[in-house]
Amino acid sequence: MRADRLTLWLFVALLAAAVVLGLVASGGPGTARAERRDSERMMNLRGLAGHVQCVANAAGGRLPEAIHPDPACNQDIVLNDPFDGTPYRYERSSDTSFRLCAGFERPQVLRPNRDFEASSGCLVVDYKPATRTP
Amino acid sequence: MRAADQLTAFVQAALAAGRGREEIAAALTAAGWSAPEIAAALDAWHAAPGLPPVPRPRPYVSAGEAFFYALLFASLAMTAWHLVSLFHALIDMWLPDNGREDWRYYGASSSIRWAVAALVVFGPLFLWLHARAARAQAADPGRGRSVVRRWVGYLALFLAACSLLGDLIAVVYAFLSGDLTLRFLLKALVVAAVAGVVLALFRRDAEGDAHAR
Repeated sequence: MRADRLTLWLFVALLAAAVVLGLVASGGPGTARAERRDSERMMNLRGLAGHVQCVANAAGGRLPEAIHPDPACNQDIVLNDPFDGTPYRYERSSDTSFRLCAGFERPQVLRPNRDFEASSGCLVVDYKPATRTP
Repeated sequence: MRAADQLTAFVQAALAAGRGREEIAAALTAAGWSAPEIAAALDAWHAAPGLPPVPRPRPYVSAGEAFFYALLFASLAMTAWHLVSLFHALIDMWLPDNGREDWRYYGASSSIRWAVAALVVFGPLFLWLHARAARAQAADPGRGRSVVRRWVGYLALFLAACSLLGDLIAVVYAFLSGDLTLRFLLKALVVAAVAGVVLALFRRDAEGDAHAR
């Protein structure tokens, strides 16, 4: 009977430890909301990256100096962070590469990708002009 | 009338007629009944001087208990499963694979939150049901004869034993494959600990009452 009680307490301790450690590791509802906001920011940056490449293709392979809606590329783009209104940052690094940055709150939780720098919160995109088929 | 009922009725009638147990057993053996069947049939009756054969308590099945123990088993299964998955996610986060450090957080938060949600619901439910079953058993030892309780107990023991054996196979395989890392060992330890606790918790339920076999 004493052994049964001990086992039960061990189980309760395991359960309590799991819940506490889980909450500490994953954060509360505020952290979860921050992660969802980051996902949307990332989606917006990906949309902007596609837009920049489309504009560059329409301009004969030249990357734009700034992002703005372009009639040649009829795409829905979001230029500002929808949560704090800050404009997304576009930096033209060279003729063939550019960076798109946002103020991510938990960049380390986003899906790792070769073109995403979690430390700076920037997408680093290498542009390859589209080849025209005759 | 089923054969087992006929056997029980015969033993009762023979004992009531004052026949000895050895004599009844010999007659049943000659009729083709096996030794365990004869022993069980004789064990179902207690001979008291001056009284007809007194029936011994038998296992019983109740729909209410079936519901209760099914819920107890489901809550245990959900708790054990999510305990393991939560600890595995934490280990993945704290001890990422070499060369895959970037992936340590991806997807971990949501799987941890899901496991915490399941544990917050099913953990207390299991503890409450388990305490209720223990209280009922203490108040009425006859509950030890519940067939459903013993089946659920043995099912839990079976699954826990399978988990332990599978865990052991995984450890031996990882060792032979040269993949026995600290991360892997900790995960195996989590499975063993949870399965061990389930084994210990349900051992008594599976054993039940000696006369209920």
